[in-house]
Amino acid sequence: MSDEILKVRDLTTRFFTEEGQVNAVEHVDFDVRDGEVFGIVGESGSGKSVTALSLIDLVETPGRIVEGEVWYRDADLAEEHRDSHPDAVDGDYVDVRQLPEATRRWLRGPAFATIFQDPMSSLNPSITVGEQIAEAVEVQRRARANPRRTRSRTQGYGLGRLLVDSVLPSQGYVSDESQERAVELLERVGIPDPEQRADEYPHEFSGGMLQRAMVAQALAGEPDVLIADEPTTALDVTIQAQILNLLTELQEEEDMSVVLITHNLGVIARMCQRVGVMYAGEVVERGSLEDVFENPVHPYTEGLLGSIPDVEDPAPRLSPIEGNVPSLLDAEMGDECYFADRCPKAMESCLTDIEEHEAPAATDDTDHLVRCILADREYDESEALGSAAKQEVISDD
Amino acid sequence: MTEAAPERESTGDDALVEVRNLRKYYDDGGGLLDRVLGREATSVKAVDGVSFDVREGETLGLVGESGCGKSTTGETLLRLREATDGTVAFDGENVFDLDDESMSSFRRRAQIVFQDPFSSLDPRMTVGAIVAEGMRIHGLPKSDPTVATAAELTVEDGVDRTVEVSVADDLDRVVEAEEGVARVPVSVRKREADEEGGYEATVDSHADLLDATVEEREADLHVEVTVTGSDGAIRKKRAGDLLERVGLSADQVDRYPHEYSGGQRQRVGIARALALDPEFIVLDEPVSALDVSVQAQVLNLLDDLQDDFGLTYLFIAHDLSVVRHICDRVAVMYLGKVAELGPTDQIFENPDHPYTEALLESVPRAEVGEQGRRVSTLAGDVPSPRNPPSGCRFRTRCPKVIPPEDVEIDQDAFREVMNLREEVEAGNLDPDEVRETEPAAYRKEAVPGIAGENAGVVDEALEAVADGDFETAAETLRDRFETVCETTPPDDAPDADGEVVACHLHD
Amino acid sequence: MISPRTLRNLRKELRSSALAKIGIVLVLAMILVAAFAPFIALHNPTNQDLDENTLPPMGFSRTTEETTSEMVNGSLQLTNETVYVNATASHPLGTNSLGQDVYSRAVYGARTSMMVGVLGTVLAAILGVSVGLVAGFYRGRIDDALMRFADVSLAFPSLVLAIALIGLWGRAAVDVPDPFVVFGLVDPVRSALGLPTGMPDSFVLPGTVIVVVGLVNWVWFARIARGEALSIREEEYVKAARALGASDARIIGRHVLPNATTPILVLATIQVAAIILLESSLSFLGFSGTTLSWGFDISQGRGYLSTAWWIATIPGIAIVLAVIGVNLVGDWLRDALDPGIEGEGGV
Repeated sequence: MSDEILKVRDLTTRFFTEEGQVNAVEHVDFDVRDGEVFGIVGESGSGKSVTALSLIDLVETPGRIVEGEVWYRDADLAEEHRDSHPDAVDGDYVDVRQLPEATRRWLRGPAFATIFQDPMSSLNPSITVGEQIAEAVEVQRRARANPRRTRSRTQGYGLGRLLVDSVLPSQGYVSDESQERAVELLERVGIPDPEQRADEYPHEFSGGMLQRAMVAQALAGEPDVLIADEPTTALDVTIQAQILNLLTELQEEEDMSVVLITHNLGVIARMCQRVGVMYAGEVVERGSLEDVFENPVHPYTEGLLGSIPDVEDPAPRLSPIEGNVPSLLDAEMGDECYFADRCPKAMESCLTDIEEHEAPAATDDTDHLVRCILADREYDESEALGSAAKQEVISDD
Repeated sequence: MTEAAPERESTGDDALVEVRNLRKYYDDGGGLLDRVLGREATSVKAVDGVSFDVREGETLGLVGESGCGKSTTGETLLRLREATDGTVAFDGENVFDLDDESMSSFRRRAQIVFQDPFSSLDPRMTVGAIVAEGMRIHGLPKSDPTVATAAELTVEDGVDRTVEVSVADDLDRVVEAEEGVARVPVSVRKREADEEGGYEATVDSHADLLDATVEEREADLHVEVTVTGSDGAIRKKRAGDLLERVGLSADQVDRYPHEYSGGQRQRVGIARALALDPEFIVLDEPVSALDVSVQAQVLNLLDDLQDDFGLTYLFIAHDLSVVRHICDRVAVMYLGKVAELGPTDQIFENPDHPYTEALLESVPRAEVGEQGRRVSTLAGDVPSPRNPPSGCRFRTRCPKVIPPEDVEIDQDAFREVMNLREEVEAGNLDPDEVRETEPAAYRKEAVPGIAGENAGVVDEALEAVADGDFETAAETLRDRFETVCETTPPDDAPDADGEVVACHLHD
Repeated sequence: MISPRTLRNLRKELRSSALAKIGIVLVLAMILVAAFAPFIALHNPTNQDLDENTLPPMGFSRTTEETTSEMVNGSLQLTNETVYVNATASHPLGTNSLGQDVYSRAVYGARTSMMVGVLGTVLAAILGVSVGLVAGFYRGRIDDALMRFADVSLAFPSLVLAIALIGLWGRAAVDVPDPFVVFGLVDPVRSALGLPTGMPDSFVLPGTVIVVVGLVNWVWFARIARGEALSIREEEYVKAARALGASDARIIGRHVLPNATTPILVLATIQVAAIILLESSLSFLGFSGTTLSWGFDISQGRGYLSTAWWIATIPGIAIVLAVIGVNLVGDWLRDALDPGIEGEGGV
């Protein structure tokens, strides 16, 4: 058995807007291993959040996953679909994207769970926190009790049920066991007085407590992969530290894999074993934390690391990346390396060679892959890309 | 020094801004219904007695978590909100009782840059108009009668006559005066032969706003420099110059804010603040909304501008790394009060206040050594500023609360006792539950770390709880465990060096 | 003032919405008809011709009982006879009981409706927006006082309030000279086209009605403007202006008002329709200062509905088309200027 729980290949998601085609995620490859935290780091507009949504198939119109495979390891599922969907099965892996819609939906919960940046808008303000978590538990419980009967989730919740529930809220759909489990989960994520807090509404929770509740809800299905999209961005540092500690603890104890998406390099450094750096929809550099943070090859990664002030060392001057995040409009992107116009080391050949190259890696088991020719060769000033053309792009956008 | 320092006592030798006991309360709940029902209006104590100096030429950082009152402090000291109490002296004058004229001059000298690059620029105005708005409000450009004007004359080859220059008195509307004199370069040359002959003069800077004419007076040439640009044109030119100074291009004055990215908009906001030539700028989270690479550009820009214009900054931020990078001194705020204030290096390397320590500990570092570092986090959330804790505001989360002298108890256990007391005082415990589990057993569950006499006191209190008598229970606990941290607010007035450590451990 | 992006949105919305196109066509048609009424009308709308009274529109006929008396053998004999009255080409939409041309009256009625609709809305907007901006910007007591007053005004049905005010002030009207007639442009054109000349040389503007509909409808503007001011005053650019030393008047005029224009503009369009209806109601009830009005014509034709339906129906259709047209334009503006659509769609 291989130790990758998730293998993403060539994932491409585009938005078809009135201004034109937006290439939000372009040919993204990465693996997530059992029990690891894999980090995706990037600035706004780099496509990191769309990548998360693409993994769980929640991209909304005008967006569409254009191509790509998301291989998820589940021997039972693979066995079941081997005959009906031979293309979607490879050994123990299934390509989530080729499974029927209902199966994909079923996978949300036991396979993938998500927590988002803004817990306030992720919870329904008119239902108590406990009730919402209990409902998530109930959905999973029913799905599990009736595996593969993919309609099981909706079966128990028809129109009649809905009417009954509207008149008699909290009667019916959610069983007592689920209620109890919800309280357990709240306790599990470190909410004091879980029984009391379960009966409170989201607005009575602080930001940190709400994010804990979101984690509890995500744990309801005992997921294999937890996708955390900027889970601490809206929180203060001391609360952020609490949530990060909680995630580490849960990940170790439940043996989950976590895909952690953030713009904060410090959070990545604390949490992740392996990292992918995204820029303009592409993963420009990926490898172990050591490879990416200590021996970055891509000038963008280098620039990003040079841009953040260090809390321990007041360097007199920062070395920022010039210019702004580029447009992702297909019409304006061109074919060369998307970073070339901001890159201090852009060379003539950057305009043609945009493949992933292998760079020296710190450990044997993780490749250090870089979408930049500098992985193969040294920077040569005589081949430098005309700076006049670069300057124009910077001042003009 | 346990009492607050007398007001208006200057602690820094060269303080530009002196903030003393500044308070800002927000009343809500004072609605009609509440008044009818006789409910007491509770006010949110956003800023509750803050004192510090901002010294000339320095960058003072104001850090803290959301809701600690740092932004309110910044806005109140600029009088963008009315203060509830306290004084702010700017250059020796109390900002809160300036007359209209001095207020107008204060508005020119003190400016602000906001956090949100999207809401801080009026979407219906061009960036040129946004930057020029301050000049328009203050009736600029205005000519200063004390400023002299002069021309730097260049006489080119072929001009063999004596040249005399007279310069308009209002040249300083266009050209900035240096040491009391506004100068402009002018050159005089002979016209090309195929033209009519004679002489011509040109102004070599600000050519679109100034004009030079030559008149032949007997043997001499008389050059006259006049200002031809309208006030609007002069303002527009200056707005363009400012945009250029902050790294945008001057010919974009007619664009609208939505055509810019967040970082560029923030630059426009900075140019607007610079337009009136201020001495002091409040930077209210100026880089928080920006991406890291853009954030670094703006931080470098702010650094350069401070050097070039001799600016004094009050830098409000929640990102400690940014504060470390840009500030000379730092004030750490917690729940409306200053917890610690001192030179940046001292604060970051030897923090004295437990809150500062915890804050620094929490920041994730972007380096490999950070991997897997377990942080001892602060428990719980910030209490409500509506009803802040008595004594030291940080005591409900502090890992170093001081036990009474005669009580021997370790810190974890003491923390648990404090939490229990809080529950008892709020009446949150369920008497039935305590009775059913037996007070002693309940104590072992809730406060496992204590024994002996301390345990006896807790049991006694829990028995009172079991009887539903919360008052006695609270009193029992208070008698034994009351700490100086809850009875006495720590001293948070700046000392002789302008430093603050508002913690009893420090005394 | 109107940014290129706004124009783009307006065009985009117009292209995709058939209803918006219909609305614009209706409103433009109404504006043109109102403006060039002296050229478009077939007759002077106030000319009476009792010989030609109650003529039906083209394609219809009307029967009437005619009694003829005859001396037969020395005794007077009365015969009842059913006579068919046919339409004439010179009155394509028929005439009313006084023999006035229904079509020409509808054309001139558009003038009254447009003038009252637009001027009344402008008055209501000026009043309401000023009050609303001041209330929302200053909040507190001023806000309480102004808005309580607004609530009280809203509690009266607008028609009743309008009638009460007109009762108080009378039905003053202003004679506005018709520039086309005064400069002698109309008669030559009309004779060239073979139309009867002698159009009215002035146009009666029902002054009291305009003032009254403005006073009755200002509250809506006050509410919208107050809401906008309440939210805009919290924007950081307002704080920034204050930090620059801007006076309150400047902040309101330069920052709050321009950023509140979109909803005010949308409301204004819808209010034009509401005021057209209110004016029609008032003139139907006889409270208008002019007789050249759709509502007045409907009330004139009401008694003949069973015998001469067109007298009331034609102005009725005119009102319906005008109100639908203006409302469709309002919907178009709202959809195109909605900040939700105007803002960047986040990807």
